[in-house]
Amino acid sequence: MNQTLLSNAHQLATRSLAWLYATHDQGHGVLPPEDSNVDLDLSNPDNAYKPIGECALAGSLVLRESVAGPTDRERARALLDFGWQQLRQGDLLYERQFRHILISDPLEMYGHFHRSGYRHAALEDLLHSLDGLRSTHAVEAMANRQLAVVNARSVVGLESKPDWDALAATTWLGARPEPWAIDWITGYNVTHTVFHMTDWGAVPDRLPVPLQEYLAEWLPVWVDIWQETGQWDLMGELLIVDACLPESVCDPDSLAQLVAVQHPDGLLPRDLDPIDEDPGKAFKENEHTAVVGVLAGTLTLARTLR
Amino acid sequence: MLAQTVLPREPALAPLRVSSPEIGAVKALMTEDESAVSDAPLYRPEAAGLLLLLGLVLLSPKEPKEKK
Amino acid sequence: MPFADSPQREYAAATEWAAGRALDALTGAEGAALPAADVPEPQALLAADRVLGPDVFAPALLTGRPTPPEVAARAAEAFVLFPADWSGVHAWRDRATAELLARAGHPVAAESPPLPPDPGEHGWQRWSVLMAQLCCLALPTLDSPVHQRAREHPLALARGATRAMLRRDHRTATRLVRWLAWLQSVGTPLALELRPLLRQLALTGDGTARTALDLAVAERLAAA
Repeated sequence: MNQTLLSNAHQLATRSLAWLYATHDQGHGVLPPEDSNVDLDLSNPDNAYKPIGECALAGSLVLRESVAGPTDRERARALLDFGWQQLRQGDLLYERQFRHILISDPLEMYGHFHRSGYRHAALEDLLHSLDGLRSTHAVEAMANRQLAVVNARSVVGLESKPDWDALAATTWLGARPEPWAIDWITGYNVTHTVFHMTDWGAVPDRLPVPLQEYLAEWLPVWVDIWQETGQWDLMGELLIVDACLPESVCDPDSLAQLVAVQHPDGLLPRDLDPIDEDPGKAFKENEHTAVVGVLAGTLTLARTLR
Repeated sequence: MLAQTVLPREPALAPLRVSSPEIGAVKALMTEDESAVSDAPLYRPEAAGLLLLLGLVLLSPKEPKEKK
Repeated sequence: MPFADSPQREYAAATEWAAGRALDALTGAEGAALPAADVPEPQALLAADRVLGPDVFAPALLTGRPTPPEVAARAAEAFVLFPADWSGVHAWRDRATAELLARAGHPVAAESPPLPPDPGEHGWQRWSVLMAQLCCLALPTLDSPVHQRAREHPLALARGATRAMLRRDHRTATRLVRWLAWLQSVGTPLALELRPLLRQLALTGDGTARTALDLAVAERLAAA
């Protein structure tokens, strides 16, 4: 067992989580009153709804994997409690889903809270009902988005049984494309395909073996090129992908690189740009990467110790 | 005449001697290194529309402020 | 065209010229009128031959047409004029050049090079760059411990090519694709499809004759 890797993974996760906890403690990540209703303005990039979901995801995986110490578990729980409170104990999700039956974000958000034991009975009834409609299953979406919805249904325990292999085959990754013909946004599409196919590393073998083999060959290349260009956010997501595979295929030095660029307070820069001096902007611009840091560290630790 | 046979060398010219900068130049040309700077694909504003489209993807990236 | 201030620039230009002539010989475009003013100075031309090394013989090895005797003689003269360097990448290039010169009737001194570079030692990234520097060894009938390394590590070469493509370093990508084409020509299964790579590189070349020559060699190896 690689002690350096374990130590780096632990440090990355713990510091990223500490930064998320501290920034929330300072009042960041709060939904403003005008966004606390069913028609919140999601086109506003500063909207706090998405960060709430992302922090819930991070918290839920820290609690799901039994590799974090008591302080980290408390912080994870605190982030989830905060988010659940912001969503008015799930009422906001219920109201959004009730008003807009074909949107998937209430289901996806609820999945992360559900994973950690939060329940909203009316929302669950509604989701079960909607799951029985042909309409909700026929909504047109990008393939990796489709997977996000399908995995959320699975996490929440809805009845529908997806054909995972068929869904995987419709993604960019599923085509096993020329690995040199990828771009930045497609890199993110690949990561999400793997996140949802494996439910964030919980079921690595749900990813078809040919895709596991494809990633074993090319994931190290993608990590390398985006590491060289300081795309810490994307590189971190690719390391989460690595942690979602049955066995690591990436160089442990890449995780060490993320640890090396992490600030003493735990802020993990998303790229090589300077960090904004305004704490509010610094939070908004780097919150996503902090979540990536929590996930990459936690899932690497969990898979290594499994 | 084959292109490769083009031979402008006149044997009567002074004997050729090479200096160490010249040897160094040949060695460097033999072992061209890779490009020092990567031009790997990064965020493009053209993809911003796609990001908006993905608006709610949890853990989708937040677009950088300004990129080439 | 003297470049009194910089042998590097002069030799680079001469190498481009010589690579262009090898390319012409390889593609059957020989005989085109060449402006006399573009012909390199004698010493620069010898330097160019020394740089091209085994590729002086690439047209013959790939087309079956013999290397003109004066071309081989000039390559031998270049080999002697610019002393061999028995270390690392240069040594393996020199070994291959010496072998081809000997076949052409110009035996030159050649010692045993060190162990060839190994991906386990350098990592696949750096190793693939070293192999790119050795791509002029990727020719029919040549074999050596370097070739053996290539046969043992087709994935590392394919990763290197992919990495170079993504870094938009088309020169390095082409050099590595030449190795992939050589691997295919000797029956080693590839981790990458060669055709789309060759097509893409033909469209995105860096405009140099050296890269065009490497690509042309790769295309012929792939067609073999």
